[in-house]
Amino acid sequence: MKRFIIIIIVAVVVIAVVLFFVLRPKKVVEVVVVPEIKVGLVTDVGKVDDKTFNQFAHEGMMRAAEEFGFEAKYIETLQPTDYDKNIQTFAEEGFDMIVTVGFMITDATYKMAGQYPDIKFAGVDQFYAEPLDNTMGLLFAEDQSGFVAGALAAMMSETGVIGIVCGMEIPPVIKFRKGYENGARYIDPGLKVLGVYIDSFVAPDRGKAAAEAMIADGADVIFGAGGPTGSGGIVAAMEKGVYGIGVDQDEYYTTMGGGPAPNLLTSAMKRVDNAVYSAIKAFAEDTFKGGHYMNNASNEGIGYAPFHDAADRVSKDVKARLDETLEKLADGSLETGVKL
Amino acid sequence: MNNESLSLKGIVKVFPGVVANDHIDFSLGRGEIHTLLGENGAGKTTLMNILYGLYTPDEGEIRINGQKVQIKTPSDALSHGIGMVHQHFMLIPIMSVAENIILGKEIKKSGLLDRKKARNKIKELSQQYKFDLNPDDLVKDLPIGTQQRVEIIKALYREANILIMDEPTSVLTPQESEELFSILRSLKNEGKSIIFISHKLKEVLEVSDKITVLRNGKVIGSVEPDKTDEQQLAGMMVGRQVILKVDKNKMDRGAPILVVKDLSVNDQRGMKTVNNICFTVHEGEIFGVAGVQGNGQTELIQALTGLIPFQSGEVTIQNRKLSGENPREVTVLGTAHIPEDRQKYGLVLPYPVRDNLILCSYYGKPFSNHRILNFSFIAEKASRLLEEYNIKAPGIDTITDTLSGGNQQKTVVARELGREVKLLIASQPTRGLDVGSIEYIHKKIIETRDARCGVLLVSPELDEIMSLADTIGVIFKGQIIKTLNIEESTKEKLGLLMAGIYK
Amino acid sequence: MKPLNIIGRAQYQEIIIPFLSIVTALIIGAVIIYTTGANVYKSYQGLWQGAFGKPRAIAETFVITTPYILSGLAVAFGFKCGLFNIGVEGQLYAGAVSAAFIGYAVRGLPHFIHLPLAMLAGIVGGAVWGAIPGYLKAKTGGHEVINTIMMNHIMLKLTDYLVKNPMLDTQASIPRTPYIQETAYLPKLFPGFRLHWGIIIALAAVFLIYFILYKTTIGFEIRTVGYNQNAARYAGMNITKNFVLVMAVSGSLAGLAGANEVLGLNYTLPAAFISGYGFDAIAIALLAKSNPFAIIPSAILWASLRNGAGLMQVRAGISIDLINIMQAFVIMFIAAPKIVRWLYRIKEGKAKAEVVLTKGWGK
Repeated sequence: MKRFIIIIIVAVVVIAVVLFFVLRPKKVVEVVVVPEIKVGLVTDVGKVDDKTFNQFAHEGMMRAAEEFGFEAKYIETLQPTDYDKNIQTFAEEGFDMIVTVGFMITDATYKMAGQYPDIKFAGVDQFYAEPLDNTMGLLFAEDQSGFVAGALAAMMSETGVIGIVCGMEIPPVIKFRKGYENGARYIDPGLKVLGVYIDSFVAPDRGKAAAEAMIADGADVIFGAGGPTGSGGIVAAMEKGVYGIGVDQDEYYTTMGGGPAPNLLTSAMKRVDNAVYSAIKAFAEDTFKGGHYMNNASNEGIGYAPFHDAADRVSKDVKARLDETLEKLADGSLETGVKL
Repeated sequence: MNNESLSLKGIVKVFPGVVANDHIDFSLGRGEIHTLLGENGAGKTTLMNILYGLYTPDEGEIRINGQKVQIKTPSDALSHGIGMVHQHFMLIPIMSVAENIILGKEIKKSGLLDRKKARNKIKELSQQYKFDLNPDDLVKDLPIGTQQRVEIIKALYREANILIMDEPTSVLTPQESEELFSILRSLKNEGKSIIFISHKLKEVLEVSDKITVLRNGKVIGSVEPDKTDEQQLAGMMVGRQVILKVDKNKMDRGAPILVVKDLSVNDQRGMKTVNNICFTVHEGEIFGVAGVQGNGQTELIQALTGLIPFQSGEVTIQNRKLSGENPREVTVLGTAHIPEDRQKYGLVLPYPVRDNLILCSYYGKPFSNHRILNFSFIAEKASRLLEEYNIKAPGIDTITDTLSGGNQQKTVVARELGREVKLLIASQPTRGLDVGSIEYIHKKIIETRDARCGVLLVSPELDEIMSLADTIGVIFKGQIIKTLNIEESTKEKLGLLMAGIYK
Repeated sequence: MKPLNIIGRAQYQEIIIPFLSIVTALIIGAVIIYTTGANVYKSYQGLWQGAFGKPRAIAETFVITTPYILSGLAVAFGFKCGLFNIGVEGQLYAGAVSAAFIGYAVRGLPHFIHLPLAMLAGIVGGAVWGAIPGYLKAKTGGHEVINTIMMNHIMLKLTDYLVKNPMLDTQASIPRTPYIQETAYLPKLFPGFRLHWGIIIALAAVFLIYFILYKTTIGFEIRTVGYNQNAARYAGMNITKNFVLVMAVSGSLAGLAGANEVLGLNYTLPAAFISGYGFDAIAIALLAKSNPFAIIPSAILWASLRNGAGLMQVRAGISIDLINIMQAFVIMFIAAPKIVRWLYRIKEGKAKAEVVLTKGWGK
């Protein structure tokens, strides 16, 4: 018994000491701000610094929060079964607006929006069959983004074979792939496009293996469309000395760590950050409306990233044709031909 | 100069419910072989574990070369020159002799293992004590006796002056034991002191300079071997007069119980180790199978008890033919089986004694009903067996692993003979047991015979066979080459037969 | 020092080591939080309140506890027979997919028939998926660790295929099965909370498994095989039969966990239903040392960590990985009790309290 008591005392003392050092008041006097509005973000399975749309949504939220003086918090989802719970945690904590990231949270977001009609919800990549007054689905014309990437790939390819490494077979990814294929054929109808879906967004090894197989089959441009899985494909392209195209954000800064990356042509951009920013801005300016907000070429919701280290290898003609394609998509004179 | 290399004074060690060592005094002279004699559970092992730093004594002091020391860990013990050769070797089979010896005390040359120097050191030690060891042999390829020498060298390599040998002969053949004794004598002549732990009286008398007897955690007395005999030592160990000779009535042979006809059995590697064997065991008869280890005894017993299949032949128990490889069938026919390796086959060590006592009868009424165990009946039965078979355990819930070897074996015997049996198959039933337990188990085997059961007894110890069996079959290369009555058997005759020489 | 009288020394150690493991993991967690610059008090307050702060938080903790108990029990039951069932995740899927199918495809049955039928489907689905590696071990000696891992992969793909093809609800915005009939709903325990009757079923399963293991001849055989196969054979027990039986029962518990998730919580099975319960279950069984009753607190602990993590992140902005780190430390301390013994100077008990988890890879 004596030993037991000693252990308890030791444990309590240790905890007390740790807490003392941790909790002692900081010398810097913090400016006490009482934010009135609270915005929360629930990620898809992943982290707010994982270089995917989770990170960009978070950045967009932080930009808006700073501008409008909102308090901003996030929850990183560990398991898909936790979506409901994580949204609910924010709701119960009295948050005013909740941003959920990713197609997979669509159902959970919609369900919770029904339960908490006073809270505004913005869902990245989410489409609601019957949108509520407090749900805004942030959609992207991934087909346009993919179309531009496909056009560029077709112009740069010498072998006449290009490849795309996709993540899970869900609508945004399908749109990227089909857009890519159609964009390539828009330039060169005879081009061969290799493609694969990989049922995970977080399997760079498998993405890499798939890309290597495509390169072995003659592909000399690889478009990695699907989070870290797609990035694995780009890494393979860099290693094998063929061109790579990133997705969602400028992968020159993320996957390539800021270069040098002479073979990274560009990235097919999906401005999740802008979309989230706009949604919060709409809420701040009281113009938030239930429904969907389509981010496309016309509102700079999609586009392509700078060529960076590959700039000297992309000829003026190619760039001119690429910009022309993007403009045509923006003004509606060109359609991607992708329907889901 | 003080000629005492080690002395223990007033050592006390208490475990919950047991005083394992009760004010023990012990002194070991330089160049002395001092035997600690006692039954299992007498406190020998506890005392040695204290000396080796595995336990801390509650009271008492340890002096080495007159200096008072504290031994808290085995490395303390080593630094004081105490080395231990455990009963179960602490060797790594896939490593070489040299690697095993230097393990934990490697000789390094600029950070790397200096194998050459280590090997030379070992060769040197091996020659000094005539160990005949090749440092490059793999331990797994060595016979048990040689492995033991590796353990001894390991201790010498660590510069041990006091060597604790825990039951060193329990794993050795008589010849290997003789070799060990000559090694011990040469160590002694080099000035090493040896604590020899054993309960085999003959060898203790042969090898010791001094014998200290422990019983129930207390020192009973110290004697010198030339002033005592087996009878007296056994009496001191057990605390009463012990009958070393087995008394039994003449056999009254009845009907055949176990009939084995042309039985052939393959071992694990598919070698035919039992070869067309034939014999019969009758009611009221102890049929002893004598033979050098490895002549098919193990496979014979395992096939008869259903543990392994047999290739050809026929086994009938109480006129019922066995289908083979079905231990339950054999049990149901009224067979008791005391297995060769009680810890491997006979017991589930983490179980309470109670569960081990029902291991072969749990499935039937009244132990269980519709698959639900009947705990009140089981407890009652187990308590009864505990008492009847004199199993020294605090209760039926005691974990079997904590019992001494003798009491573990008694648990097996209680379970097997505690139900209705017509045939007892016993394989090396007294292996590794102390005098008291051996006496008890021999008595039980005779009682079983006298209760009109048939007994099949297999033992590598000729003394045991000769004192118990009514009929002796000598097994050689998987066959019973001759069957003799006890009256016509002599040690010499059997010895020749066991070596395969017969007419 | 007198030995404890109320509880034996061995039991005392069995409780104190896990307890101290958790305390130590929390202390290490505190140090990590502090070094990352977050507020320890706010973090742990968030963790606590997220798990137990409000009725809803408590209810949510028990929502997660439900599959944790069942899947932890599945692993522990395997351990008792010396089998390491890593296939709980796959068996859970098998149960979920079977229950979902019966749940939406069978129509017109009354509640009291449809619900048990759907649960039974889940149990059978899991049992079959568990029994296969059990049978392979019994007949061919194929190691269950390898085979259950393989079975996990097969089931993952199979579920994905089924949900996206024959079982797909074409009306849905994400790939998932149609919603199950209301007659197959496992009712909620309290109105307004997601906590459902599954927790009661899970607790009942604990008692049932305890009863089977310790009060019946079936359990006696299982434990004997788990401790000492030679002795079990000697006693006339059928080892291979027990392997298949144990894997089937273990799988059925996992299947029941999957069925509960579908019938009590989601009412559908989405394609990306990666629960992770099956792997956490191994940790839960280890923490509980395979004791059926100890599974309950062990599962509650794991569930509360997982449930409280969200609010902890909201309050303190700390990475949710901290929870994984702390869980890893708990398991490390449980697996290597010497560390805790050394830290708190606890001497080893005389009685051997080590758990035999599984046999080696040989044979």
